[in-house]
Amino acid sequence: MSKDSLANKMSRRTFLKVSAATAAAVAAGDQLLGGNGVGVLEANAAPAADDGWYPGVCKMCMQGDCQQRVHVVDGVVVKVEGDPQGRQNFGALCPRGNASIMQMYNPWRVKKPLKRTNPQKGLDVDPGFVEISWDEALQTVADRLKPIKESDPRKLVCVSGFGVRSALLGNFEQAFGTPNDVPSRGSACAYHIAGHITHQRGPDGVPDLDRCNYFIDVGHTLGPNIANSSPGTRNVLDAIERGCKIIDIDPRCSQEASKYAEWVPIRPGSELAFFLAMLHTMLYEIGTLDIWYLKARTNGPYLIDPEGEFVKDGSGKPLMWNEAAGRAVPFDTPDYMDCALEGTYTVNGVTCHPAFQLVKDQMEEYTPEWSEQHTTISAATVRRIANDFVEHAQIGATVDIDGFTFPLRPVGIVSERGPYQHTNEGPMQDFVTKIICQMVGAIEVPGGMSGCSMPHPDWLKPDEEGIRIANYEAGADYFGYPWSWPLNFADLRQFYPVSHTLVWALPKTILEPEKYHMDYRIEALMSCGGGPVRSGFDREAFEKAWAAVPFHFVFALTYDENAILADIVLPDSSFLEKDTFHGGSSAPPGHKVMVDSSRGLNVFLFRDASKITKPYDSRNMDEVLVDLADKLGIMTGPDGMAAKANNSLRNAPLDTGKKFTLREWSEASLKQTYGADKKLDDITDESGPVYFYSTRGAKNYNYYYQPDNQTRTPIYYINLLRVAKKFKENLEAAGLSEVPGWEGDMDYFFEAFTPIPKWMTCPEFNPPPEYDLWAINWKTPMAPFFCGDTFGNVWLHETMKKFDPYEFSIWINTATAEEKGIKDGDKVCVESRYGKAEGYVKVTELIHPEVLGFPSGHGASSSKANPITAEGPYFNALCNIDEKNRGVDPLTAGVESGPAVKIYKV
Amino acid sequence: MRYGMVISLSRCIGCNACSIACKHENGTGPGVFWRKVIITESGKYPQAAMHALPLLCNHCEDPSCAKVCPVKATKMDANGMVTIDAKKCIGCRYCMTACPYNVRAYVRSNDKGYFDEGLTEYEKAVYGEHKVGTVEKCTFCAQRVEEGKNPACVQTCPAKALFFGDLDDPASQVAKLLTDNPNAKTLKPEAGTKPKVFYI
Repeated sequence: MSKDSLANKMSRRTFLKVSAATAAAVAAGDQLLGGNGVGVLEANAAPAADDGWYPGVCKMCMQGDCQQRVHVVDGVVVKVEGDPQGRQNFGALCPRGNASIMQMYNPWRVKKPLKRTNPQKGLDVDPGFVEISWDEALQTVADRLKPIKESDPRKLVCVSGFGVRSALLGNFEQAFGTPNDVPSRGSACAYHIAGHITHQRGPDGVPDLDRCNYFIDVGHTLGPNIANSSPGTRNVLDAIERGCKIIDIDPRCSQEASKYAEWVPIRPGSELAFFLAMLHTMLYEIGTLDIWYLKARTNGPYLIDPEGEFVKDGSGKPLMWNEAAGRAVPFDTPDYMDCALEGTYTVNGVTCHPAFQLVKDQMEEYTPEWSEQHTTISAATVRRIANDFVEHAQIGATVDIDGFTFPLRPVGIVSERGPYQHTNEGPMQDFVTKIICQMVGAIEVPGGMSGCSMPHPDWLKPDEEGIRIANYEAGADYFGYPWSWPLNFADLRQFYPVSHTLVWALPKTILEPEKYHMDYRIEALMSCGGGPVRSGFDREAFEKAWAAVPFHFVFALTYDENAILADIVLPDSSFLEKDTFHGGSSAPPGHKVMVDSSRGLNVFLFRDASKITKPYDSRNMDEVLVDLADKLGIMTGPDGMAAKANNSLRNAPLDTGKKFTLREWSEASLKQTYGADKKLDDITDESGPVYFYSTRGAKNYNYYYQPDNQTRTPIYYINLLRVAKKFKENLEAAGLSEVPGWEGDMDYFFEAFTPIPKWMTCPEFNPPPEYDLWAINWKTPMAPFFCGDTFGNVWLHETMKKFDPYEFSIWINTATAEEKGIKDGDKVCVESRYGKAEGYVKVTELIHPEVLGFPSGHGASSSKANPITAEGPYFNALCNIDEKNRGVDPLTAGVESGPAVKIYKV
Repeated sequence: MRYGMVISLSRCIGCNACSIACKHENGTGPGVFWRKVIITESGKYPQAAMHALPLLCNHCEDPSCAKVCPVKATKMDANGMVTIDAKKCIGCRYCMTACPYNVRAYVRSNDKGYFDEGLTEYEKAVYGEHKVGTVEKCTFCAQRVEEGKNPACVQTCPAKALFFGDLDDPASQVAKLLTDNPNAKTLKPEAGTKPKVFYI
């Protein structure tokens, strides 16, 4: 008998019987209380009408665009699977997506709205939660927010994370009037700026795996360790099978790296040295460069004056030196191939050099022998990799696509979390990888590196200086965030103008507003889907700050740390029980590659959850925000939430005179991009998703839109120089000589704001001798991050515990373990200058001898969470967010997370 | 017809998506995995590598489990799948001892779930299908195969490392893979069970 038919055997009558029994047991005070001691299993009074398969979209990770099918029997989700019609996942679903059933049916969830009765707050303090109705909960929130809205809306801070992708939160914030949208995601993602300046919109540089033949992967995953049912996993394996050679440079070896051509272990915090030496080798030893690309498509020929600025003509155009003519010419000259990349020239009495010359000069000292002392990678290996990279670049090769001739440069480099997460050193090495790729012309052409947004005619458009316009955090006017004074944003983004995210700043501005020049105090906090207490790298600081905010309401799936510290807890629905849509591009972040199946793909996925019975008294956060806006009187009118939502719904605007439903909003979103004739009802399990490709063929590569010398990318990052200059002027105008927290250390603060990369070390690189090792951390296939309640999921937990002896352990190299008298399974303490983490050792050959490995984000829990969430070592305890320790990166605001440590048995 | 599976070890990333897909496809309870992926390593630093080894019922041509079954509950079907008839199974577990691959599970109960608070609605809906006191194992998702689908593990595999089909059909992907990979291995060939799960 088939499983389906077996499942269908369960009649509605049976279900009602079960529900009735549940209700009776609750009434009798039976042991059906949740594991946290609050809330009860809700009896389901209204069983769903229709059994069968329904379309869905998986939201177990930050990517959230895998198409899912859900089998519903009597209102219960009994199966999920990837939809073979899905253009992202083609029927695949990762372990987390498969485990989503246990996210939904989980007695450790928050089951009813709660209010705190104990005014004292702390992670170890019993909040004294009592259940309340949704009406009371929302009225309480509205009553607390109204005076804030009327006095100064900035006093409300909203902290969101990947765990809930509330598309309406931004509109709520806008209608409320607070600029303080502070994502708690991304504090470990300080790697976007070089991509945003060099590539297209970013947020990341990704390889063209359909054509790439040689790829250097640095502390990074191409797919298997993140959203692993997305294209990266399949396509990296396909690429390997067709002969693409991938080199993994990383202190530890992964499953993915084990399939690559080579694993090259490196000392943490030295990746910059490796790439400086690789660039040195290319410039001084190999000498084979894509001269055409450098002259036609980079700012390499631009003449640089002694101040570091471009030498310009009277009309403001940067100048290059035409060697044939013996004079300076504007950058848009048709004779660009006659222009010099090297030399010293005098223009209008100013001594100047082409930017390329300055980059080359800077690299002279960084020999492979020099790098070996820092990286532990031999000079011969550096030379071999540099030579292989250049050889595989096939400089001069072309490929015709749709009759359009492209340069073909099938090589690439991507760095990520590991190397990036070092103050100053990290982002700097990323810039070097971009320069290396430009030296062989492997930018936005077939085979090479591209930004991971969808291809688009505008992304490589040049500014008036001929260089592509930087975006996002390196954005307009070179500032990701506009300067304002007095301080407007509570996350200090004015002081970190090209940063990514700054949730670590909140404890500082909450606890010491005057020190940070805040002219207001944070009086209310809303948090959802993120765990800055857990993931913000200073648990105690966040605990103290969260406890100090007068009013905190939280949308919570489980009793995480945010919930424990909140005044009002609003139970969020599991994504499986929400009407949910995904409408947008296939653009990564989670997709770590660009391949034909995802380039230019626009897809609209919708989950119709109407047939699924919610096990607990939870609500969709977006729906609650609509109700809250209504209670606050900020729903309607020209500045209301509906009007704000309409900013992205110009083709199918909502009625701004009334409260909208989520289905109305979802359908408007569908019509906006996919056509006025589209309806949600048309999206069924049979139909599959609505999708179209905005680009195909030649238009899949941004070079197509600005070919030849029509745009340029920077090898000389003048943006950073200009940001620093402008930022210093802004500080001075505000009467400040230093950035708060960086008193006496401003030279270090500005060290990475340099147009040409140079060797600089992170604060963990030369620690006191007793800290003789470094700790690192990475994503794992089953538990890449917190969102989706990964660590509280019993299926994921059970699978990891049973079959993966590496997952909950602290990795130590065999030789190091022997030297220290540590054996496999020993309990140890790892101690940095900032904190300690305990765990059990896995002795392995898969890690650098100077390194201790902490997989995933285990070990953080709360007093009312499922105890399984507390298992494993807690890496973040080893890090810090103190400016005095240089714990955060001035350029990207990333948190230094490669701490120097020592280890001992306990 | 002989259904079989080919597993590409050079593609498997050890994510265990297959193991969890199997759990909900077949509604198995705590501690029960009809399939799993074991994570190991080999070599010496820095020439070391991490490995993933998916394990499941091998649906052997000469199944030792069937030989020892006193009530003939375990048998090979005409399509090559080794199946257990729960109505016949008396739970003696001889088959579990005889299986060289340790991939069978004994159903001790069907009313104990993952949580102390009792069964969730999901668990109530699915655990009852497992007959207490019997032995179970991978069925190659016969219920899906009947509908023309791949087993759940094959469909869900993010790496596309799993292949299923008729080994007797030369046009099938599994047959072609075995032709292209003459060194394909089976587990414990010395046991003489002739597995129909191959590793390449």
